[in-house]
Amino acid sequence: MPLFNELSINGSGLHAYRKWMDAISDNIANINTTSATNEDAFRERFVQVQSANVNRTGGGVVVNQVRYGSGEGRIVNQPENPIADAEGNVKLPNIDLASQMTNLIVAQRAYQANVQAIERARNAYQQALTLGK
Amino acid sequence: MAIAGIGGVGSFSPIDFPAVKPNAGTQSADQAEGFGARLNGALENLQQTTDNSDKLAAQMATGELTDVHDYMIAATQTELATQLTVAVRNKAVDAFNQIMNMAV
Repeated sequence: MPLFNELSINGSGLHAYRKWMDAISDNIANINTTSATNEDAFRERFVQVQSANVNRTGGGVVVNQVRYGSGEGRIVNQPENPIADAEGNVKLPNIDLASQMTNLIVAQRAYQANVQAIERARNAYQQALTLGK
Repeated sequence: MAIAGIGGVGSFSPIDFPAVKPNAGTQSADQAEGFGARLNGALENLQQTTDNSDKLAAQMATGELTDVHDYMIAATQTELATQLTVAVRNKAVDAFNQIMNMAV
């Protein structure tokens, strides 16, 4: 186990939550992206994470992959849209803004918690160095 | 009133100190395991940490850094490693000075 491993462990947490925030940003940015009814709507991004093997890598979390939600979307009538079909319909992604914002808060707070844990570990190490002074 | 005599002290069990292993990779087993060698290992370790932090700092300056926290963690690790090495060095110098100031 390397020296000051706590910092790396929480660093992996920071990485995972930043990825999650990236995915949420992507979802929110594309929440009004229209597509033609004969193709997939924008597919919601999900970040899949997994606990790192404690014995082998010293703990932490790893981002496995980014998964995609359904491309089914919802059909909306927008006859003025150039990509609308004969009936004037387009597809919008089936993403709920409220749940994206909730996830964003969770991700942001978890990121802050990891930063706090790093800060505490750093303080603890510095306290240890004052031993015997 | 009879006062019982003081009994003999029983045998002491030897204290088992955990063996301190030299830093793998920086020292071979047959090398002298003096304090100097250990300090040398620690300094090499510090050098690695500093190199990593320098590399990330250069990436940040050139705009290649994708994660700000990567640099901050590397910088914190370097900071702590430097403080630790300096603390160990100071202790060693203190010990040396105390021996040098010994009245002969």
